[in-house]
Amino acid sequence: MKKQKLNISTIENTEVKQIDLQQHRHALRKSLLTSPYWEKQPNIFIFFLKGGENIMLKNKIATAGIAFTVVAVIFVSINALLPKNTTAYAEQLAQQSYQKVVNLTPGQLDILKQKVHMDPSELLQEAKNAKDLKALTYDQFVNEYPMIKMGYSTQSSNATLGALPPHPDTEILDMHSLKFLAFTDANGQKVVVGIDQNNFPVFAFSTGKNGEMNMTVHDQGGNGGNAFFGTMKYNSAKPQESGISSSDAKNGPMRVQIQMNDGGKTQTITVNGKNYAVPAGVDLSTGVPQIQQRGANVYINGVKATPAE
Amino acid sequence: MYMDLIEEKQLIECAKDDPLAFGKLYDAYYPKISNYLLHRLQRSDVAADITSEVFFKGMTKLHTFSWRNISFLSWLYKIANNEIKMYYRKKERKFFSLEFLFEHSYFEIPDTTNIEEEYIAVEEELSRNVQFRDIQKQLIKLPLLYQEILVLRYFEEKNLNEISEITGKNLNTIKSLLSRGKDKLRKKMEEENENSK
Repeated sequence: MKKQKLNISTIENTEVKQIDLQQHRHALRKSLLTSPYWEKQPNIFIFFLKGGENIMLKNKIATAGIAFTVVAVIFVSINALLPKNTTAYAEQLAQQSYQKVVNLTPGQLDILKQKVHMDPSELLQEAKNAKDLKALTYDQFVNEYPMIKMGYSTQSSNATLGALPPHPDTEILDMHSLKFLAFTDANGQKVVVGIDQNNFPVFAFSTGKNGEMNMTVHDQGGNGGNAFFGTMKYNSAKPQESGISSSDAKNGPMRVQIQMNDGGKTQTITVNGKNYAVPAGVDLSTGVPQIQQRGANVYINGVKATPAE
Repeated sequence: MYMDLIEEKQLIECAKDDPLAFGKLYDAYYPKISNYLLHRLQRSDVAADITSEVFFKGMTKLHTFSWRNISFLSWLYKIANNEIKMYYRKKERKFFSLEFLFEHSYFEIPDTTNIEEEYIAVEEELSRNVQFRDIQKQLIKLPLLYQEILVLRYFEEKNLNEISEITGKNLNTIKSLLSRGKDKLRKKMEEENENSK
């Protein structure tokens, strides 16, 4: 038989007869329908699958909903359990605060600069760029910087710092409500910035390699309020010495020195070059005392200090 | 034998736990699937084995089937296509031939003597269709993707929408594959014609 020449129209014109694999069809049918599979029906699915397409769809949506809920719960739990000092959180906080600051009008920014005693946008920019930026909770903050326990207060003629209840005239910056950013700046100084609930920087301080601490604080006192800034020097290996100064438009800067020797047994306070006896009951070793200058008098933790000879 | 859509939907729901309902689906679609496999594969015993596998999977996976995107017959074609790919990928793979089903699932073993004779008879019958055999010889030289589309289009007489449903590819892709597949087949045919001169 001569072979017919193949061309592409062949495929379109070829008729293929249906073939019945009768023996195989019967054998397979019998095998399938008498299979023990039908006795082992997974009953767990019967409820789930009965009722047609709508129920199937609802069940699938319900399953997807449950899966989504589980994922969401896990996500929320992980976030809740993760400490807030993660780098991502710190970066977010720095960014939010930076945005707040850069959105201020030039006039508002000048006021904030005066209050914080440095350019807050530069400070936060530096925080954003820092490799070791981290966020601290209040507890972490006071653990790392025990010298600063409760907060600051400022008033027109006084600068106070300490853990004790403030003078009624003062306004307290509640540090419990702050968030803290800690980082190392370009000069190698450890910097801590306090951020308030509105994401504005309200104080900042830095510590040098030799233990020197420079601090600025947002003025909470309103008109006539006085921004506190100070320098503290402390070294646990040596007798502790703290020097605090306050600029006061009225009275000029207040210079305070606290010296503790022999583990705090001997305590001396010098305010503007004048020595004062530490009032009974005041323990300088537990933290920086509240020092106020009212006119010619000096109050330590609210108690009038007697000039020492 | 075709059934209407509503009847088929009801039957599928019943067939999930009723062997008799599954038997009706089997009777309706066995000829289509077995012939498709005979057209795709040169060996009738392999075609029969893969047919067994398709219906075994159709039975045991029926609870996963839903009507939303694909008809039941297209679903069976889809299984068949996957099994053909598996067969070509790993030819030594053991399919669920009837003996295998019996050994592993306690299915009733049939007398296979007649079935083997049937395979031979089927191959002889197909060989008598010289045109088909010649085309099939060239078809199996093409990539599986083109074989699938061309067989569905010209031997199973599926329209483009049905091919799209079975293969999961969109219509434009099907048109393009069909056109390219025909070009490739034409080249193979021309080469064959040259060689046979």
